Amino acid sequence: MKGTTWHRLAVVGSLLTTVVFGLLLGDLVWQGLPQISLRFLWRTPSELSSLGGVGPELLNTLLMVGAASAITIPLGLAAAILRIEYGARPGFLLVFDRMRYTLLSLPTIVIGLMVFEWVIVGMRWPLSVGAGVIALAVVNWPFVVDVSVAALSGVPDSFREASLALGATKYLTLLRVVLPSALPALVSGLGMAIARLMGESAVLIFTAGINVSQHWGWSAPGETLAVHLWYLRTESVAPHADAQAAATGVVLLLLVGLVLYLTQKLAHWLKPMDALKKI
Amino acid sequence: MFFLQWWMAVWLSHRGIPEPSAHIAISGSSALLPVIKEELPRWEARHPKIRVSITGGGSWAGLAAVLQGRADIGMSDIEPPQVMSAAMLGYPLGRLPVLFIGNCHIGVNKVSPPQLQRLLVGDIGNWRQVGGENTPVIVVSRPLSSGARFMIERQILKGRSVSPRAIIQLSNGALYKTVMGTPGALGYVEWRPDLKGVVVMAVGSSRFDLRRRNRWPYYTEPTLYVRKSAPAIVKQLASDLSRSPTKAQFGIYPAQP
Amino acid sequence: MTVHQKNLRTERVQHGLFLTAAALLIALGFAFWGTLGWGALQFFLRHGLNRTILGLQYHPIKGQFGLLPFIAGSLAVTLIAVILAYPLALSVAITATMVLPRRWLPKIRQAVGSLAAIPSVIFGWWGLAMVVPLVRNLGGGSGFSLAAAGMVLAVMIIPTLSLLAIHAAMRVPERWVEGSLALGATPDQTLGRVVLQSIRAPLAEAGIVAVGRALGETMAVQMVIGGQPFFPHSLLAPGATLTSEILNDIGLLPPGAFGHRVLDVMALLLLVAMYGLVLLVERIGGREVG
Repeated sequence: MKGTTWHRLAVVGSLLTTVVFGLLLGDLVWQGLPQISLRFLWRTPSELSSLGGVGPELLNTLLMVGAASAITIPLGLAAAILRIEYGARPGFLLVFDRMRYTLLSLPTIVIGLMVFEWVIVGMRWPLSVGAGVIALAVVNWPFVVDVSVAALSGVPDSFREASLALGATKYLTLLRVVLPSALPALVSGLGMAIARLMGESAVLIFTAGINVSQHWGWSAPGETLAVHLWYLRTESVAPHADAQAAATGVVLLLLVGLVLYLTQKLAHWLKPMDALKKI
Repeated sequence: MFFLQWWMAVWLSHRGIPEPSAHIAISGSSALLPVIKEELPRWEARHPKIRVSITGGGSWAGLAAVLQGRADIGMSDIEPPQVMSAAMLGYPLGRLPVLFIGNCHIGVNKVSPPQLQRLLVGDIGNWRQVGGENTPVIVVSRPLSSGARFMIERQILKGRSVSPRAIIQLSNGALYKTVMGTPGALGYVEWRPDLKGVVVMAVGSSRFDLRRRNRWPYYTEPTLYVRKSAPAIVKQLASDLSRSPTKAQFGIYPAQP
Repeated sequence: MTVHQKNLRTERVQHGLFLTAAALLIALGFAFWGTLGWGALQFFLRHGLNRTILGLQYHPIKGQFGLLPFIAGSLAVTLIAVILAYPLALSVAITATMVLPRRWLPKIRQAVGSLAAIPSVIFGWWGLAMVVPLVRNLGGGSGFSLAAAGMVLAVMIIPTLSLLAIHAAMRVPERWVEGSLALGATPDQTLGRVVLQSIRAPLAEAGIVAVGRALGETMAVQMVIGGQPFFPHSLLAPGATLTSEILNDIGLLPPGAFGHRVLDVMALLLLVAMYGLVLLVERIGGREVG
């Protein structure tokens, strides 16, 4: 067909992109996958032998991301509900939007520096799981607001009008109509937020530390998988540190993939509630 | 087994049973991280109520953190200035050799001290000038907070600064990996067990030999510093860590043979 | 109390809670501005403006705080990343929406979305293994360079950028495309004059989001840029960005140390830059604000 040069170029560009990402993921999986065993998943890291694992890091990642999400999901959702459902004076909303977009794009190292100054230096907390959770929560909050706002705006106004016209209060409309229909989009958006949080490292190096303790607790140091990958790639002298770094990377990717997959599935499963839209 | 213990700890802390709260923070030189990280789990196993956190950041950072009370133990390769040392106790680990390493393809394995100085500050731009291959010299250095860099600038560069075109790597390990992978690279590392794939330079008449390492003139003296007023358990930890039985495997040897 | 009154009361309480959450977020934002602004102010009162933002020499132990090398580094790296990533992301969007069958689109969006969640340390790891040697072989030198950092960032922002471009392209009504083709325009003409023309604003917004992402990345950049705090005279020379230098120097300049406030100044510059980007998006009008 004539006049499709640009389309052809676009296809070439897409293929190139696919190849680049294929190399990236392929190389990582190729190097890392053979290293992974159940033992690797639950042993503690070791500096001298190649038998170390990432058990504590795996657990730290799950617990810290879980705790940070547990704090930020209600807070973020509430702020988004105010923004979309309730509204406020235009000035307030303008400031709110500018703040949340600024916080959303703020480099995580800046957030790390601030949490370090506030929590570690100011409040004299130890480098710990707790401080790491706070840092992660600050990173995650604007992101949760963003995906919640997107999910809530996806609900057609006619739903709200119908509900209000039938005499429901604003709150009941929110609870019975808006939230259920926004739920699938909300779940997949939050999945993205959690997945992003799992890979966060810059914010944690100076707030959660780069080791794990034998005794877990909120005040124990909390190295996560992403930080461990960074440590292995730079400092570790363990034999096969590179292979272990690759394996850690694969574990991290699998975890991220798992979160995305499960939330997508859940969102899909919740879809029937959304079927009203098609009527 | 360990994992079970861990889950137990998590489970217990969720049950609201008061957890032990003693916390010791270690901060400082990244060259000591592997030694400490190796010994620490054993120490913690013997002291079930204490948690120890570690961060890097460099020797200066460690000293400053101890002095300001943000850390309990500072790992440092640098002897602190008089102002600082008055308030601190040091637990020396021994001596840690600092080696000059080059990439495999430079064709040089021996330089004189003046040549080394001119290479590191960037006056010599090509390995040909010291009898090697026709390859540009790429200096790899540590950031200003590093104790090894401090030693090098004082002892070899006589107060001059490392080449302005040098690549800066945050840690000892990153520096070694960069030298290994970059043609023409020259850098300095504190000894580590896995130094393979690089040329360890002889400087003047000294050649590094692991068995006669106390003859090698370039070394740092890694020391753990605590405040004089620190609790006994902190001093205990510093003392135990400084006598770690595995430290020889990381290249640390006693100052007096 | 009737049910209705109960509902009204619940609603007031709920409204209060939502308002508090939003106000807390604003307070958090102001806390950032306040802390960084206060730190930077103290720094400027002590060291003056000339030797910092406009200075070329950075050696905090000697009291030299020139930040121009890092500002230049950040700008160069971001520029390389966006210039490299934009055409590729646009290609992906065009292929996904106009070349491949439409029914594949949800799957493609899901796949691209998953790629956007790849942790940045993994990009850094890959950069060390592949991009640095590539730059070394093509351009000489060590390979640790602004160019390498730019390339790693480019790959990193492609998924985000593609996703935004796909979203924009999906908004173009199919009737417009069909109409244009029916009037005898070639597919290329339709693409250039109808599709891309009609989504200029969202595409520009996507570009700004990508700039923000590239400017703010730390770990991937720090691993491949070389970390040298001198003004970079070539894209193949090692350099540093504002973000990578903060990571380098948190250790050297702990709170309370002489010169620690220079980190606040760097962070404030980044905060101001991000705020500027937010205002720019507002001006373009792609986003509804307020």
